[in-house]
Amino acid sequence: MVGIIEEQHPDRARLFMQWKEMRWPVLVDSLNRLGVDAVPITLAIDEYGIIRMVNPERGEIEEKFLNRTFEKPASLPPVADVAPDLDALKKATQQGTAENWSAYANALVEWGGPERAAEAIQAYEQALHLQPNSGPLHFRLGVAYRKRYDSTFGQAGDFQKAVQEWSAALDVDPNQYIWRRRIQQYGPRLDKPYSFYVWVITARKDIAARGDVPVPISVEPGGAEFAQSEKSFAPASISVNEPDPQGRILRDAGQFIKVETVIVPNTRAQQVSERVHVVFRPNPANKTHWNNEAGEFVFWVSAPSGWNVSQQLITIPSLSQAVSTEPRELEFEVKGPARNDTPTETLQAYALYYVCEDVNGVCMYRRQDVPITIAPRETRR
Amino acid sequence: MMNWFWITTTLAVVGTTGILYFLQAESVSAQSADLADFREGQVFPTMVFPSLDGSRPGSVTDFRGKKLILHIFASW
Repeated sequence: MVGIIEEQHPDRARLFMQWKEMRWPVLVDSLNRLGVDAVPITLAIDEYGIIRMVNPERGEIEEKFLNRTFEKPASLPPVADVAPDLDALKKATQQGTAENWSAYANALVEWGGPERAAEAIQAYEQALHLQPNSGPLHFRLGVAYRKRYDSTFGQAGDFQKAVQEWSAALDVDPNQYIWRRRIQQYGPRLDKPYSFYVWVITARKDIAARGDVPVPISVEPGGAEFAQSEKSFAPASISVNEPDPQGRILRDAGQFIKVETVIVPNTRAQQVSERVHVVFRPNPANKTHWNNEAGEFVFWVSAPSGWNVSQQLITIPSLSQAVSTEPRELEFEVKGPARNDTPTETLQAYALYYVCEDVNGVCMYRRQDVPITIAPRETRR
Repeated sequence: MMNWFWITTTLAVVGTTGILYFLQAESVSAQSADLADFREGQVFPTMVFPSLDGSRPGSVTDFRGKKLILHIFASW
């Protein structure tokens, strides 16, 4: 038994396999180089590497595969068992073909580590310049952006660019469910077929209960990845009070806290909902940190006429230590009018927080306005 | 995750080889792959992938000489 995993974060599958006590080798195809458009797929492959059964029926595997003798073919492709030579692939890009740029980019993502993500992104862009309508290239560029976002080499905009590239790929081939799932993983609940990673919670409990230590995963699933599917949009309660209705709190224009907003659309064109991811990061340039002893972080979003939001008021509890510099992330969902007559809309939102900067030793309570701009889908690229 | 529910409930041990065999009867559904991509009689692609455990590059060709059940999947 051998597996090939088709996930953005393959190490989550390690946890899954530990949970289910599966002990067989697994290869990683985060880039979907195999080109499968859905999972699972089960193949029976003979001793010569030839596919003998595709998604076989239960009960026929022994008779039609295990107990059967297959004829050795006259010739077979050579065995490949080494990682690609990045230098040779880079040299091959001098030929200027999309295939060569793509092969180099793929190898950089799979073997170059996050420190070479920028090179991979540039190589995919070169390939896309030559083949602008290639769904696989758009998808893989999105994978590279999201991998960089999840690393210490992440740059502002990486996550949104990943979503845009995955959306571009899906526009090319709307029947590619691996690509669709990559967007839905981060998207609104109305678009989810199921919760993608809620099993992680159960898995860790079960593994710990049997006395084992759950294997670590490099990127913890976020709210969207835990979120369950829903059939209808659940709007926010109207009973909460706006924390700064008159806008009297002094503004932070971004000098203390940097904000990144990512809009993940519903992949179904007839559905009008999106999931909004907002990340707040203390600015290291002036040594800003959260002042946890002073109070909680609060976020408010207003819904314009015809729009609904899943939550108007979001509070992020402070960590127990007096100061910290962790990114603070929140997610919520919005639902607007029907797609065809929905112009670009900006939802007014803001965050209120206590921070200190260590250059001048000043602590303060600040508000940062965070406009949430929802564009019609066709204008997002 | 729904995929795995069905897989784990249909886990079976096949023959005397000790091979754990997964079969998901519901796998061929609206979400199913374009099976034209994998046809009986076709050589499985020889491409090399990273291993999940990070041990070494891996390929299906590593298992030449043995019969193999290959499961392409995701944990969600």
